[in-house]
Parts: sequence; structure tokens; C-alpha cells
Amino acid sequence: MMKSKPGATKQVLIIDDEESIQTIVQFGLNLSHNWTVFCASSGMDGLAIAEQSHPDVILLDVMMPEMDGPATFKALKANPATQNIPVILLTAKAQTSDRRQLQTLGVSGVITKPFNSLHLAAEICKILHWSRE
Amino acid sequence: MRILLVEDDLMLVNVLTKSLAAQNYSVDSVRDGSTAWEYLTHIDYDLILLDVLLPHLDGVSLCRRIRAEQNETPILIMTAQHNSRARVRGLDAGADDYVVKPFDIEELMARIRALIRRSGRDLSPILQLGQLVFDPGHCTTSYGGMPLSLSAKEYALLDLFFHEPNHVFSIPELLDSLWSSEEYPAEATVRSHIRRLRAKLIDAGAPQDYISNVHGRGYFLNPNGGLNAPGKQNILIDEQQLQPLKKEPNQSLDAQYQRFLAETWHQFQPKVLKDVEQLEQLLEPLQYPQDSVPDLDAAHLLAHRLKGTLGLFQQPSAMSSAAFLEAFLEAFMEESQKGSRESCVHPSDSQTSLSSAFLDLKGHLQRIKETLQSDLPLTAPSTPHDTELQPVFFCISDDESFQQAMITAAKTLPLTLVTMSNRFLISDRLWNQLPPQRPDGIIVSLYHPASSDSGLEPKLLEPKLEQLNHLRTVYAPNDPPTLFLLGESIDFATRLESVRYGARYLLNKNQQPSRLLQTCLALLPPPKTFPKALMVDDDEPWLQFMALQLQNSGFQIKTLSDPHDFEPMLVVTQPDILILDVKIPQVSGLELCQTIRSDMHWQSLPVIFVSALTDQKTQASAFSAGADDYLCKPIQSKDLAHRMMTRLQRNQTLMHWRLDNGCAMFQE
Repeated sequence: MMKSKPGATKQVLIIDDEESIQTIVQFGLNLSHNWTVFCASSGMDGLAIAEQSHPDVILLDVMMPEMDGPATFKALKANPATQNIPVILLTAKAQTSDRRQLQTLGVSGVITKPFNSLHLAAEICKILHWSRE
Repeated sequence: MRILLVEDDLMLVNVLTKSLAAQNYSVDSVRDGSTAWEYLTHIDYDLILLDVLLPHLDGVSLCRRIRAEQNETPILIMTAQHNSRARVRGLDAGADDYVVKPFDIEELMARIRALIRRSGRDLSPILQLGQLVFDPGHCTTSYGGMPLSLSAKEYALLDLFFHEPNHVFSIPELLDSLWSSEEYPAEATVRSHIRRLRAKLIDAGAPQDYISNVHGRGYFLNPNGGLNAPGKQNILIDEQQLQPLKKEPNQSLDAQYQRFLAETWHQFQPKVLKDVEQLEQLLEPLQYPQDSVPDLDAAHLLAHRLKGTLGLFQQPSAMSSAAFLEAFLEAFMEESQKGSRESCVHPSDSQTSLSSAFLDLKGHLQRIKETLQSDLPLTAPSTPHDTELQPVFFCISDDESFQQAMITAAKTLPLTLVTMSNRFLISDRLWNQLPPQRPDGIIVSLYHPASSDSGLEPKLLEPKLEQLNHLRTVYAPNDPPTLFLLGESIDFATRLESVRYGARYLLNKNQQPSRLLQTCLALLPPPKTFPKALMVDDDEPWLQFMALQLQNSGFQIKTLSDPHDFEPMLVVTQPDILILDVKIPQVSGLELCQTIRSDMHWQSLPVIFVSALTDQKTQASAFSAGADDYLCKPIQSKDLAHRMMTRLQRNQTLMHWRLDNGCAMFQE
């Protein structure tokens, strides 16, 4: 696992089974805002890393084999160690109705794929009302 | 800036695409409204240029749909209708502006610029820092209202200073940033450009030290003119003064990101191609729904994943095909659950319609594959002109004179050299200062007591090499850069230890830096490609089976069962490797091999025999006919693929060594 970088202001956990997406998110967040990004390739791995690292935000893919996004989200909320970490869903479903449905799960926000990961930090800040870095 | 052009008139599309490209916009063009909608649901554009009369979904309806989705991308409508009603309809549907066809291209460009500016998406149409005004769109500058007449190099210098205000640029840094590796001006040339630029600024009214010099360090832009004491750490302007730049990531970030995307795309292409092939296999049962049941969940997940990945890598056409496959599978699954699988797409004639839908699916899969295969990495060697494609080397050493010699040598070669100190091997805390570009090779000097170089001390080799190995995996865990160690003398144990920790080559440090770099360049693995193989065998089922398996291992395969077509096929295919059977009717494989070896052109083509004949005599005949390898059937496709790949790599390395046999490997 990556160590937190000096000067990094936020720690992000991305849970996505697609390695290319992990790579690009990691690069974009790091390049644009020097954020540290942890990666997990499955819901189960994500739960363990979240509990251990307690990131500032979790980016969670909706469609994953075995444990999907909503199931992972429920497990995160059920664990006192992770229940307060904001979760943003990543989905390739672009229609408003789909986004609205996902929002009803209680997540902090939904970001539609594909995205430009250079702009991702700004999007996260907007959703979580963080002041811009 | 990315623009979506929605227009069905091809002539106009050509003209607009060229004009927009000339203004540095990147353009995706589509010919109907529904495809545009598909693109828009997956790609974030900076502006939409929209025709009104379009097939499938007209411009006004598309506009309405975009706004209903709370998408606020600026929309400029192009209409041939002169009456105000048509324009009002467009604007009421959510368009931001319109032009009436035929229109003046310059006016259209101005309207596009204005819309992008108003939307706040532009980085900055005009940047201002105190009295200095910089207009990147038109490549003009002025100071205090006075236009500055700058040469291209002076403009580039000012651009560099302007965009990195908190940075003192050393002369070597300026040389690296503004001059190509084939030019190699003296430091005095750089100073003379700075003098001229400074003089022009002073003529326009800027203070004497507007471009200031920090003794021994370099130059920087000092808009406060004399307020800052040179040499202080915090000497520069507050970045807040450059507000327009803070709106969006700056252009160099964008360029870095695009470069990274391109590199990562090449890295992941084979994997994506495998996903497509797996999806193809999963969909195969749809062709015969009576006989087999497809794994719809797996296929749906795969199509969904492909859509996301292709979108992220900005491949709109392939992504659109993946989206079609996903939507089809979703509908199919819903209908299957209802128990009426056949009626999901074409309710009228279930069986025939499903077959035709299957053909549609195959078409979309083919389109994705074509995108993947047409965009393969370049195999041509890089030239000094395409610096973006040049290999990058990190040179890690604390020996400044060695580093300087390497930098000088690198300027004459088609490569980019980044020098760094051994500090990077002590702690990964410094790694956030690493350049974003993945190096192709890392060169590290080993310590030697007789030399002045404080390189890696053999006693401390293990922890350092572990760190070094870790560093190599930071950029691309699956494809780490090649590690070159340099030394003057080294024992076998150290060599073994080095190799264990990932060193690929140990080179003699006592040679000219240019020669050393040339050697490293020649020893880099070739760019990832899909080697072409020609397979000749009269056993067609075996041939077809093996071809399919080898394709999965990353080869492009051409097969041939009739040796009469061998010569034209060889010429057309220009294979990288040839696989021959021994016993082929009419002309034997041995004869084919001898024939091609009699032609100088095919001397270096690797030839592997794969035959059921296991006797020593046949194998000896094959080698004397010119074979490079001989394998006996039955053989696993993985073993054959491995042999082929190894043979190709060996051939590549040998060719380099033949070309440059003066490059000595490190000797004890």
C-alpha cells in the first residue's frame, strides 16, 4: 500500500475492479491536488483498507463482481469504524433517473463515468463541500 | 478544449473540423442526434456545435434533452432557417447562441470563443499579471497597453516565465524547455534572448528588473519590479495574482494527463482486447438460443466495464458500441426474466430477429476491436523530432560531473534524460517529486572505491536495490522500466544480488557517456506490439485452433495450409516470425525454409518448426535448412507462444549487438 505523501492533504480510497480506472484516478488526483490514493479491487478489500486507513472519502464503483457497490456501501455503514467516511459512487449509468436511484441509498454523491480525473478532485470538493485545495 | 460537432453535411463537417483544429480545439463529429446523445452521456465536452435538421433525433429535441439532464455545456445551434421562429425554438430549447447558414467561419470561431469564455470553461482567454497582458489564443502580448513584438523564442521564454511564476529557471532548464535536442545553443544564446526580451519589456515601460536574475541560480519574472530581494526564498509573486490560471488545471497538467492517458491506454490495450474477445465468446450462444444458454450476467458486467474503460480512455466510437451491447444485454435479461427471451428485440419473428440482432452485436464487437487494433503503439524508432515518443531515462547518481556528462551526451541522442540524486533511493518520501512520465530505463551507478562516484555501495546494495525495485514499480507495476547498473568491477555475488532485485544489465561505466547511453537505448525492450506470425501447416483444424490461441497471447496470426500461396503470403504479411510444419504435401517445410534462407532479405526472420516428427535426423535437417528452433507436437499453445516471444526478443537483442558490437557488457 502507498504511504501518505508529504504535503498531501487528502486520502482517497477507490474501490473499483478495473485496474485501468484505479490507475487513472490515482494519477489524476495526485497530479492535480497531490492527494494520496489507496486502491482496492473488490468490495471486501475495500472494507479492510477503509477500516485500516480511514480515508477522507471513498470512491466506490457500482458494478463489481461478487460484492457490488451498494452491498459494499451497506457494509461500510454497518461498521462503526467506517460509517462516517463519506462515500461517492462511480457509475457508468448516465441518466438522471439512475443517478437519483443511487442517491437514495444514502451516499454523499454520484459521479458519472467516464470522467476526466484531473477534474475529479474539484468534483469531490463540490459534493462534500470541502473548501478547494 | 473539446467540442462535439453534430452535423450530417459531410462537406461542412470537413471544413469545420479543419478550422476548429487550427484553433487547437479537439473535435468529435457525429452525424445524427442519437449518436450525439450517446457521446454526451459519456464524454464531458466544452461546447456543442449543433445542426438543427438531423436524422434520428433533431437538434432542437436533442438540445431539450441535454438541458433536461442538467447538462450545462454551451450549445451553439447552426441553422439554415432564416425565420426568427426557428431561432427562437432553438434558444427556448436551451441553446446559448446560433448562427445562420451559410456563415462566416471567423464569426463562428469568435462566437465559440465567447461562449466558452462565458461558461467559465476557458482557462483564460487573456491572462493579465500587473500590466503584462498575455493572449495565448492569438499569441500576442502587451505591456501597459503597448503591444510587444516578440520573436518566437522570446514569446516562448515569456510564456514559460509567466506560467511558472514561483520558479527560478536555470539556464540548463531553459535550454531543455525551449530548444530541441538537435539544436544545442550555447548558454550565451539563452542570455542574449533574455537580454532582448528584457529590453523590449523595458521599452514598453516595464521596470529594469522585470525579468530578474538570481545570481548563480537563474531567471524569473518579477512583476513587482524591485520589491523583492533577489536570492530570498520567497521572492516571487503571489499565485493569486494569476487568478485566471487557477480556474482549471493548467495546460501543462492537461498535457501531462493526456500523455499519461495515452501511455496507460497502450499499457491496457491488450487487456481490453482480451475482454472484448471474452465478451465475444460469451455472446456466441445467442446465435443458437435453442441449444445453449449464455451467461448473461457475466456478459453484461463485461460490456458495462468495457463502456467505462473505453470512455475513460476517450474512445467515443468504441465506447458507444460497448454501450449498445450493454443496453441490448440489459433488455435481453429483462425479457428473459419475463420468460419471453425471443421477443426482447424484435417481438415479431423471434428466431430470425435474434439472429439479425446477433449480427448487430458482432458488428459492434468488431468496431471495438478495430479501434483497439488500429491504435496500436508505434513501432517505428523515434526521431529527434518526436520528443514525446522518445524513450525516457532516469540517471541516479550523486556524481555531478558524471551527471553533467550524461546530460551533454543525451542532447545528441533521441532520448530524454532526467537526472536525480541518490536521495531518491533513501526514502520514498521524495517520490512525489518524481517526474510524472514513466521512465523506460533507470541508470544507476554502483560505488567503487577507486572512483570519485559516491554511487551505491556494494555493502548497502540490498536495501538500496530493494528500494530501487520498488521505485521501478511506482510507474507501471506490470511493466517496470529496465534497470541498468554501471560499475567498474563487480563480483559474482553482487551481480547475482543485483539481478535478483531486478537489474537487467550491468554495464561498464568506463566508456564515453554517449556510447553508454547508446547501449542503454539499444538494450531497451521494443515497444509493445502484436508481432505478426505466419503459420504454414496442412493440418487445418490444428492451424485454426493454434491461431486462435496465439492471438489470445498477443500475436497477429496469418495461416496457410497450401504451400503454393507461400511466396505471395510471405510478401504481403511481412511476418516477424515464421512457423513451419515439416511434412507439407508437394513442397516440404524444409524446402520452404531453405528457399527463404537463400534470399538475403529473410536472413533474420526467425523460423520455428513445429512437427509431429520427433527423430533426431529430421531435427538436424531442419536446423541445417536454417531453422532457429524445433518443437515437437503435441505442444501447448502457451509453450509455443513463449518460445516465439523469446525468439523474437533474442533476435532483437542480437540485431542491436550486431549493429553495435563495440558495446561491451560489464566484465569482471
